[in-house]
Amino acid sequence: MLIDERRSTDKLVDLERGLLSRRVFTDPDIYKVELERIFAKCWLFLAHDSMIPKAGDFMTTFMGEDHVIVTRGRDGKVHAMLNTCRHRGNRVCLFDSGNAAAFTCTYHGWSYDTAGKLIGVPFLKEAYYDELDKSEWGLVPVPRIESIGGMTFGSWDPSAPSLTEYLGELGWFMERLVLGTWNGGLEFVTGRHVYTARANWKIIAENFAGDHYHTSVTHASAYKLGLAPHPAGYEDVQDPNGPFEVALRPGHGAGGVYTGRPPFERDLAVAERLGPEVVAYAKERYARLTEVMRDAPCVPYRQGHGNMFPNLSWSGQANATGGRSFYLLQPKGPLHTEIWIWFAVERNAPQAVKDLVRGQSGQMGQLPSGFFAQDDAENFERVTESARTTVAKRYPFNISMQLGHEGQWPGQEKWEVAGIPGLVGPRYGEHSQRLFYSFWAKQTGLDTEA
Amino acid sequence: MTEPAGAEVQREVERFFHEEAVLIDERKLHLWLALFTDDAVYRMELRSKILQALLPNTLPTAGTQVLFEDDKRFLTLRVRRLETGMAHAEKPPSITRHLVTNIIADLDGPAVIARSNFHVYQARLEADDMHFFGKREDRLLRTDAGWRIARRSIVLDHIVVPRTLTTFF
Repeated sequence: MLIDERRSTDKLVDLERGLLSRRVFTDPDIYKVELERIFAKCWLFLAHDSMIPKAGDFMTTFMGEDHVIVTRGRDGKVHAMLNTCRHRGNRVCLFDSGNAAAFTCTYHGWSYDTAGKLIGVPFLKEAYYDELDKSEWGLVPVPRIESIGGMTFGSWDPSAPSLTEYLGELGWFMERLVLGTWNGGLEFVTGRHVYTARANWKIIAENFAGDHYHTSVTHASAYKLGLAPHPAGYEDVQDPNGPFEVALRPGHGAGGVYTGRPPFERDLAVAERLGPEVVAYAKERYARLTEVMRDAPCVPYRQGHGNMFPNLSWSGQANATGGRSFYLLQPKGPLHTEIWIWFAVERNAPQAVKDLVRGQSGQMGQLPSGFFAQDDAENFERVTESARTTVAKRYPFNISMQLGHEGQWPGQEKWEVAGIPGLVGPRYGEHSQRLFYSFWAKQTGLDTEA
Repeated sequence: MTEPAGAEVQREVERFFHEEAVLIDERKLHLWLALFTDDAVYRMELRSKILQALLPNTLPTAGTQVLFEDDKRFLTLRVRRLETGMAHAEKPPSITRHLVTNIIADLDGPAVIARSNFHVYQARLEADDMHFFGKREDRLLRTDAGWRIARRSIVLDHIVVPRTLTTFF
């Protein structure tokens, strides 16, 4: 019935007209298709190396709605497996994180080692006559596990493309700006935060992927308090050094990209307040970044937000005095998302920088105590609500900003963004959202099967 | 070492917390800010289910990434933000009710260490009521103007925070 209703209407994602059906946010049938064709196929974030550094370290997370255990095995490798006993399905691990030699089910006591191998079955000899082949009954492993810059991802699809291929144009941004692999990579601050938004996961993901348009309105209170420079007119947001929003094939986005020396000099001003050690670090880091970016003459210096399809988002400065926050948008039905938040800093950053950015995340940032998260979350909830009700959901959302003008710069000659991969557009454009939803449509197959 | 405060100090601290709750719920937030010393710290942590070698009977806090670690300057900014008319998550203002209970006042030199539990009810637009539970440990100083909060350490008792934190605790 619901599927028929879908088929009787236009495409869910209409890229020619820049229209997006509201039903993608609320239809339970569409959500089930997402779980199968996106969350059980695409590469999903599992853990960063610094979360599970030692053998036996583990953390639990979700892939879609499936609960998984991610471990550092005795072999030093990252393993991931479903957190469900093969006998009657109970969880075998009840904790967020820790260190363990084995996971033992609390129902009948089957136990598994940190690589998921079944190692203990009570009364195996007497009750099973030793006929149970333990090698067949280990925890269900995530078949594909690959990593980039200390970040490990998993996919349930044995025939998935490699992680590098899946990242596509995002790989370049990941290594150089998001993960800072050339600067020792990231270290994650201990602790994970979780809050609930009564919102569909996509409205959050597309915001991180490429929505700079909302900032001056949604976050107006922060600008009003002087906590960030307020872009008043359009000319204020058109700076030849950015920020740029970049749509990254196949379905990712990275925005808030600033290039050249001016963003470095602003960073240096922050460094000066933190002392000479930080100034020296910022200068030395800039010299090395310039070298790393030698194939990108515009020298991208800062990167403010982004999303790796489907549900790993991030924000931050990605500069010498900034940190990064990562958000894993865990779907809990079409109308609910748990936002899992970790905070990370470049390993090589001076302690003064680490202390500064740790404090900022709870104040300005995307922790539930942060100004930005508070106003974002309420918007996401009301958008989702609007996509649920009978009449409102008949009217599509408008995703047409800059449609047909991609690569154009209003009132400007084309800016020098040489060497940056992907479709580079101005601060106000929905090219990243259109790519996000076109990849979504491709993965779900809902428009092509109709 | 702390020792139990006498009945008189205990009653004073209870009254102080009850009056403080009125200031928050009636949104007299500048009067509320005045209850903090100039060098006060307002801190909030979250719990986490971490498997430890010796499993304790309570869950530890999540780690070094805290939810709030505000000095008075930033706490004041949080109040001023609500006054901009642009803090959408408090537009219209939430209705809140702060219940502060289980108060235990102990003496620590010139200061009082006051432990308490809270239940904060928050009503927003429609049927989206929220409840927050947790505990506080305050370091209180007696001044000529009355009791003042020099440090507030809050632990929120939620594994998943039900909403962003736009009220005060």
